[in-house]
Amino acid sequence: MSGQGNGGHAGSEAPPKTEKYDLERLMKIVEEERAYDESVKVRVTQEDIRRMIEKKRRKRK
Amino acid sequence: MEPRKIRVLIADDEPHIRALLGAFVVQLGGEVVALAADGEEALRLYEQHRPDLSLLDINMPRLAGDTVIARIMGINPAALVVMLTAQDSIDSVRRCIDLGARNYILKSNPAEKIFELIRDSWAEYAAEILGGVKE
Repeated sequence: MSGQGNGGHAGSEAPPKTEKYDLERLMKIVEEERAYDESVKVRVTQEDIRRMIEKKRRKRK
Repeated sequence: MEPRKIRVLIADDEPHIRALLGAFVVQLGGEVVALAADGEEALRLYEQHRPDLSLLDINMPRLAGDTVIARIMGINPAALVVMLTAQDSIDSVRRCIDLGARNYILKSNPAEKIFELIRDSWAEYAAEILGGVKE
């Protein structure tokens, strides 16, 4: 993942606490976005599919 | 003389689905000419057997079913392909129909319903295949 933009930490120096919290916040946002994507994904029934195929056929004629 | 049977390719990574679809095809008077367990095998067997009808799953190892249908339509734009899958997103359905799938059957249907959906189109497919419209 990119875009945290605070530069790297060489050697064994521990990252400042604020950066850890940023990462947690970022992970939370990613999780929320994933849940949103799943919730808005349009799911279809066999009847919806039948209508879509019928429409496609009419267009072909 | 006995009429020619509709020759069918079945591609699904689940053996019990292949067996179920195979039984449906035989019950409808067709002949299963090839069984594939992944997308690459499906494509290879399509080229080898040139079946009249292909029943394709989408979630298959090596090559997904939507890629397989795209390649099959590239080989034979008149190919009769029916997708049979658990994928119920509108994007997936649209993509496959736009690629040329004749039907898109959800595996979430009960087995009897899946049989009915294949059976209801069978006569139309037979007329097209045996009537010589197809390549």
